[in-house]
Amino acid sequence: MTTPELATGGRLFWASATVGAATCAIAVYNLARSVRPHSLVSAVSFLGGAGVAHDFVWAPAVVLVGFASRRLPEVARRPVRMGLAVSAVTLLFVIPELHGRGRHPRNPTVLPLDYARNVTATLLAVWCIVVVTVVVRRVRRGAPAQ
Amino acid sequence: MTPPPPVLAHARQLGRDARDRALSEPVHDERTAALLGIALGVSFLVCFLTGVTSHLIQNPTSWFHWPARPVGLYRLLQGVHVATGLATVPLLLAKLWSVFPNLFRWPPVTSLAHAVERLMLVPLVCGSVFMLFSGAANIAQWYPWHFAFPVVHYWVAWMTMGALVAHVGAKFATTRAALAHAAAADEIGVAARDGMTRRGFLAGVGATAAFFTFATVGQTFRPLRRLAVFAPRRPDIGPQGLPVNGTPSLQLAQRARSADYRLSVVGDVAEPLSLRRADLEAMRQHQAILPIACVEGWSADAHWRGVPVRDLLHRAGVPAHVAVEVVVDSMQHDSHYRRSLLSNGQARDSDTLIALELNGAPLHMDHGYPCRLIGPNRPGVQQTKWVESLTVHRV
Repeated sequence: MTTPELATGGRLFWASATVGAATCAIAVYNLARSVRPHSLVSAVSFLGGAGVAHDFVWAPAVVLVGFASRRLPEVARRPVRMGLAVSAVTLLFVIPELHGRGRHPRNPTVLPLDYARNVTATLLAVWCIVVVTVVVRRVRRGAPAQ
Repeated sequence: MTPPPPVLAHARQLGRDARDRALSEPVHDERTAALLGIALGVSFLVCFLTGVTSHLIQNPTSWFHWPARPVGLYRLLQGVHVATGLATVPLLLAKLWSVFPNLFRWPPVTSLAHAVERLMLVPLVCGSVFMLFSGAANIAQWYPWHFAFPVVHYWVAWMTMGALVAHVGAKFATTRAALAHAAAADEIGVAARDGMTRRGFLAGVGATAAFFTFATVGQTFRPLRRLAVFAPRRPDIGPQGLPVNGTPSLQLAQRARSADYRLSVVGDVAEPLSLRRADLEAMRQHQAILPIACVEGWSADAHWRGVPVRDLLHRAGVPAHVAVEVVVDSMQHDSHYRRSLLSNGQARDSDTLIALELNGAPLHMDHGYPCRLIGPNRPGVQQTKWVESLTVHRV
């Protein structure tokens, strides 16, 4: 069984749902009349794609990785999971820079850094912290009880 | 109705067990969702308010007045907008992860109100992920879509905020209840041995958000520029030590260098002007330290030298007591940003210049040679480059 949720409803709920839905509708209407049809198709694709990418790709991948990491020793499980999560979010965060499509030969001031090197250094630092944490936890667990 | 095959029934049971196990962990409980939700609500509100203000500045209306002072207000506004948006990436992913098992609650809908609540999650989740992705891609000048970024980012922001209002109303009581029993809830958070503790999870999220901020905010906060390892810009990298956004085409550069170049001052003036660059150099020069503050979130101070716009207005016979607006046009006719508007306050400000020099040297072509507009408290897209005319309108 699932944990109980508080019942939805009441004046605050319906007031905010009405205001929120009306704002949404006005925004979608204005979006539709502000752009050309092919731009609207592109915008809707990216909008829908954003939800799909999260709910059907990113989150299931995290579930699978979490499931796979259950076999790790208990002392390493949490630090490794945290390391995996931070690494994945960092890589996701830097995709636009790593992708490098914004680079233009006439304007070297856009994306001027070596992002592949920087993200590699960041991930190395993250995994050094993970390894140190696992070692410290293991040493502590191995110490005689006080 | 025929019962499902045993394998399918077994798979369903495994799924239900996994969901219930997840929902019993502190990282997926209502207190964690409430804490992350509050942080996310604040960050979305900051992004929304700063973004709408920036939109109003770039799309002037009769009821909105943006002053010329303080000099760095727009820089702060847009720096906060982008920095907050970037720090929100781990917050949003953590919040969605925290509530993800709820997606599989059964039955999916228990009442009309519950159906409305869940329906409003569609624009909320799609809009939130879209806003952060499109913003992060835009500041790296990566445009994988076929639409104009500003208008779509703007209206999807309104859509997302509408959905957020509905969500806050739906979750208000749950959030208040989840936060009311802090002591007991924290005990559960600490006591969980197998999974992640709430404190550990939230600390990891906070540390990641803080790291992303430190790794990017140097693009606008110069003292941290060497730490800005993920920033799409560095405030000290560019011609004459300043980044640029738009660069001129070959044809535009040729026209800008041409001996035929003239800056015209026309419109509601007593004496229209047509000035060569040498004529501008011969006028009284004024120096100002002003930032270029890009809508993409980077900014940098620079030393500018040139002719105050108010001196040009005076020379064209526009009395000082007459309120005017000045339309500034660029030679870059094919750009969305070929034109900008100076309000009377901005046009009369002593630091609003038709700049000829940057950091002690003549303007680089990428910075708008032969002359460009630079004024206090304006978005970078309104600091028009390669200026060819000022058109004065009495208001």
